[in-house]
Amino acid sequence: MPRLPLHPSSGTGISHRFSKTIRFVRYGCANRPFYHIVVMTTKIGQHKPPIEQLGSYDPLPNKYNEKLISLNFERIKYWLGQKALVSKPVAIMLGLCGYFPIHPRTYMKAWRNRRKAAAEAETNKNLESEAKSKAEAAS
Amino acid sequence: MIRLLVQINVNVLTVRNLNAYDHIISNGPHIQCVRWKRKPIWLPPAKSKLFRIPERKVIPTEESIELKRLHNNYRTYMKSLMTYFIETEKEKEFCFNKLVVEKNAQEDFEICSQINDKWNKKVAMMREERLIQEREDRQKEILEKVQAKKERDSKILEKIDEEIRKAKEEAKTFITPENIDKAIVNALENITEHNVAIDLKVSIIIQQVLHGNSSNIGG
Repeated sequence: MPRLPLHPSSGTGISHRFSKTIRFVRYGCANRPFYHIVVMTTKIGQHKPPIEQLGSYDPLPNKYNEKLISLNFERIKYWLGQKALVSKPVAIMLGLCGYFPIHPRTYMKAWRNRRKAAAEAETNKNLESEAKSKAEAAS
Repeated sequence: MIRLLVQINVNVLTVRNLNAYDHIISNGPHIQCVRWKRKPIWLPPAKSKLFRIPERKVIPTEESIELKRLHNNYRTYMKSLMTYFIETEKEKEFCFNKLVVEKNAQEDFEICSQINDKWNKKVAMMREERLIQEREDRQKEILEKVQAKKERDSKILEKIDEEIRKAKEEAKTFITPENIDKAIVNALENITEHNVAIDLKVSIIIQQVLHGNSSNIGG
């Protein structure tokens, strides 16, 4: 049975004194992720009514090879002022958006990818040189 | 294959769990269900996986040092950012305090009223000038109108005088009680015939014969 949300996904606006977190909520279906960025009470489940929606994030690139993200910076600023926490993925996204300092994890991913690409290039070079030498030997 | 079999070492819960999908599974002997092959969460780890220890990922020391540095920097940045956000929100809240808002509104109102007074003075001056001009124009207009009326009246009087003069001239020929006898006598003496016919050549034809006839008829 589908989970029918009986609350507005844009948020109920009901907030308690419990600590809050800005985090992603997965509103997609199978093999098609789509995320809302919401403020919720930290200990509440993913698909429970959020306090407020602050944006959305589409991780699959569209036909122009863009990953779209929308953020309500005014409200994010307000909620950060209310001492809301920020989950790690959201902090990384905000870092990439230029709102926060860039997260170390982003740097780590980048240098690992770079290293991997360099290693691949080297192996390709080696293979090519080997193939060349083999061809020379055969001729 | 999932079938309701009584096996050794099988929990009751497992059996019930598997039983839930019975309606999907046909009785064919060689069918294997791929979709729901996961172990239910409440079962203990499999015997073969019981003593398996997952390998710990090794991060090179250089990388770990770099990461630590980055994380430290990130944390300090974030701390300062968060305090900034909290302070700005506090300031905003303070700005929206009732007393402060009222005070600001009062100050704003005073400034606005000053500007308004200035404008009012300016407009009043302009209005006075305009009113003076209008009054002068009105007086001129009225004078002109009075002059025109005078001229018109004098013309009408002249016209009336002329008419009266004409009437007086004509009054000499009027029949009055004094000269009525004279007029009657005159009329009887000079009878004029007004029963006249006109033919196509515009020559007047007078029939005097009819006069006698008419008198006969009348008698």
